[in-house]
Amino acid sequence: MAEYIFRVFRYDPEKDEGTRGRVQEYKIGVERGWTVLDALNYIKWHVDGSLAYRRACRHGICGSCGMTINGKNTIACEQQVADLGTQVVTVEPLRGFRVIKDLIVDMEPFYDKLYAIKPYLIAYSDPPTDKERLQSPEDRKLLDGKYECILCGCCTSSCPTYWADKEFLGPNALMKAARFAVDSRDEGWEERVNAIDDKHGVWRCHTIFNCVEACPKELNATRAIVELRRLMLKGRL
Amino acid sequence: MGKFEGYRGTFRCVDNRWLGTDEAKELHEVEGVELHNVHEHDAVIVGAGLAGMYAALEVKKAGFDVAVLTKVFPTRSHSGAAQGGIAAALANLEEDHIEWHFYDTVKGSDFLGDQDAIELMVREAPLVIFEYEHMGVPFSRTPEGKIMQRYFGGHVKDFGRGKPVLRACMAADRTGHVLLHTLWEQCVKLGVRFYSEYYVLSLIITDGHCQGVVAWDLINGGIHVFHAKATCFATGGYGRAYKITTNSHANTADGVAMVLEAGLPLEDMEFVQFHPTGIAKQGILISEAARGEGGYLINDKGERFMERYAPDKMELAPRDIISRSMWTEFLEGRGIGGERVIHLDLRHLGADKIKERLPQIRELAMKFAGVDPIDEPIPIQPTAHYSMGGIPTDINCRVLGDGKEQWVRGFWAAGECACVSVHGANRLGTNSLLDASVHGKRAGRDIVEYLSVVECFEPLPVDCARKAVDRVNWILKADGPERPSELREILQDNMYELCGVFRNEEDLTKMYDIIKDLQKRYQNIHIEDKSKVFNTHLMEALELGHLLEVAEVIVAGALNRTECRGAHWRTDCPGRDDENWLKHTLAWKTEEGVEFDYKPVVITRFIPEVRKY
Amino acid sequence: MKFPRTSGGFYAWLFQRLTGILLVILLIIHFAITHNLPKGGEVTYALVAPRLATATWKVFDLTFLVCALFHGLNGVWMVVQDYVHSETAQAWIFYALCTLGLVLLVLGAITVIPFKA
Repeated sequence: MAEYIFRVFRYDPEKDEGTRGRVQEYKIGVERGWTVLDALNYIKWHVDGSLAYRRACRHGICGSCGMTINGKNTIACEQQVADLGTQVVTVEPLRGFRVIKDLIVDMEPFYDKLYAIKPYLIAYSDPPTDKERLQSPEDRKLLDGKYECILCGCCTSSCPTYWADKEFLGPNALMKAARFAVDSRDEGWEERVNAIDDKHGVWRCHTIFNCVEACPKELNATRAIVELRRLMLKGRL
Repeated sequence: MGKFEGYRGTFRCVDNRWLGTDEAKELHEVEGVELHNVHEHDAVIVGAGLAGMYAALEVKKAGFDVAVLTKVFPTRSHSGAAQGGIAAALANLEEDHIEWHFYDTVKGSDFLGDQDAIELMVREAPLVIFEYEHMGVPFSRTPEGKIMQRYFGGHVKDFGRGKPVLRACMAADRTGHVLLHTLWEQCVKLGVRFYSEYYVLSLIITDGHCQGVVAWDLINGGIHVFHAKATCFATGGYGRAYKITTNSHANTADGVAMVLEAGLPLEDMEFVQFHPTGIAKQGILISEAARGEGGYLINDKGERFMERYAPDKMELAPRDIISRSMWTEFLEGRGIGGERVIHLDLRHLGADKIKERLPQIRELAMKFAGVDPIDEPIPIQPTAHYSMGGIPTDINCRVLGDGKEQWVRGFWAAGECACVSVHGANRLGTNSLLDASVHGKRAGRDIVEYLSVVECFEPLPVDCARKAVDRVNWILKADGPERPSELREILQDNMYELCGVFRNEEDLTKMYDIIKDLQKRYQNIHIEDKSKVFNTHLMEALELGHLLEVAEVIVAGALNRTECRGAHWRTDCPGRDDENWLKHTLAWKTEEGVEFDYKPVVITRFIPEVRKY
Repeated sequence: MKFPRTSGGFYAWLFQRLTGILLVILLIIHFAITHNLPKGGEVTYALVAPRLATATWKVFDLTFLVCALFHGLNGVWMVVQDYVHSETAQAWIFYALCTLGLVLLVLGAITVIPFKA
């Protein structure tokens, strides 16, 4: 059991309105194997019940607990406290989004970007009845590294271009577009390309690679964006 | 003529509107509910996992107005955590038959599953899988490009006599995740209305007729009334009643508790499945896929101890049998280091196979157990995983008010929160995604038929939100000495020890008293967050109330059923007792405690026999 | 004030990359020849002037000039798009950058084209 100080961002819209929020310190003992989410749960259940944060599956598949820990975006449930290497742990809400309360941010703008790129399979030809469409393992492999996204928001929140341009689709939505673009079953490129071929779309990315560093699932959104550009280049030439 | 023709005349139409002006004013006067907080939708679905979103999709496709209420954003639902696969006898890689799947599910249920429902489910399974594929699910593929399938516990060839069969359709080990996301994508495509982060508080049921739900808007705070012709619960399970569980923090028995509060019965609540391979101390699931791919279970002496308990199927025996085998090893002192831990050994599979077929399992083991399965075995222990019981429904997912025949008009339930019952006393792996999908779809279809007959809304009772408003206000104002989190921890610790893998009368009685005491203490709670905006402490307090209600029924049911069947194992009542207990438990909550009734199991084809693997 | 709606940024992106690649090549040639690499030596008017008077070098330098202007100003324009959110301000800056580019192009051109040794 090691002593840690958690410096947690707090913002209660009913009390702190108009302020930029405050930082509250919690000194707690952390057991071996605890993740940052375990520590937050401990604080909520034993120290201060008013602390608000999202959480659900606590094993890195639901994407609820995206936050900024010691300045780095990740999901709290996968971040071992001991691996942080500091005795003082700063926990902040994801940047680039409006804070609703404490560590909870408004993800609506993030989801809106996804809706904009038509995040679903578009197929005009009828599928075979009572059978699957065939897809070779090689074609299926193209989806690897794109379909695993859990929508935690860590990438878009870490993107300086998104901070500057709130209309930028962001790495997440663009990677989703790439996921469908490379799917051998999808026929929606023409429809989808309008949304991403925009000054707030695929061309806005400055290949800063923050999203790659931030992704807790180790996906490479920048590469997906580059792939999209390549596809569009091919389409034009 | 549809089967709902009889309901056409029973609705009072006021210009096809649901309320007259006076009635609207009265509703307005209910404290906390403003007129603009009353929403009207043809169908309201509570829960956005596979069952909920499948139902919503069906209803939306038919052109009706459907709203999905969910306490977390749809893709955060716990269906997404399922890893291994979804069962369907596609025979993509080797011979397989729907009848074999049928038999395996019946046998897995320890013959408590209703065979008419099981047959329907396994017959619809391939169709649902193909529909998923057409929606765009990125399934793994066979060399010919068909959907890839893998082995899974309890699924075998030739009516239980043959070797394991490749039946679990898979997308690496993220099957639930891709199904959930794809369904959500389709809902987005069709424009299903989601109310994300709305926490449903109570049902509106009058005279056996369900008219919607009352919910709390988590983000802004405030009571909302959802008025609907059709209401469907897809609220998931209650693994959070246990300390060690695979379930998400959100799986807190909300839906089942609300049904109980509405005076309706619950079915077979004593059956809670323990998954054998949860990461030690955390409970996080290591999918059965790890054993399906050939993983070994090893005790402190280095033995593959399953030799003693299921010599044929070994590690691929059903979950309940493996959990009990592990617990027996613990009790006989052969847990790793004398603790309640067993090793799951994957090392012999080799680095390549582990990386290609089990990438997420490796990631989980590394992140949560600090162990790379390529070099070391993973420490595991049994973990509360799935609730077979739930809201009694018929094969069309209509909720039964007496648990047997009488439908609560306008009310459906599907998925883990419902008990059709296809899982009986024990669920087979990969049948949960199937159950949720098939029954979500069936519920959706049935709702469509109902909506195409029933044209208008019936007036809401004016005090429909009263109960919910009172409860929220009570918790916000409560200033007793008890902390909800403390009470919950007492409940969870004791449930795992006293009402877990093995049960006996003494433990269960003790547990029942603990719950009664906790329920009393619950009346004296306080919360530290009194605000309206995103009050997660309020939500935790409400969840605890639900857990305490439902835990009482689980324990009372376990105490009542004096036999061993499937996941329910009474050490003081050895053996399955078909003479007295081949029947479903129905449990009501009354002033005096839990009251029971029973209904027979539907047996159409397979006569109960000894369940041996 | 509005600026003409161009494509989503495809051409800006494409030419930024193309000019980038060209600039690297042109720079290498420029340095290699001007500084007489790899031997090196003093750069004098007498050495440079006759070369600059040839047609080839005039084309070379004009290409160099166009690429550098486009690459630099387009880069500034991208930063502006990130950080200036008002459409009107963006349009003013866009035209200002265009004008600046033209002026510099003309200044460069009148230096390069009529040059005699």
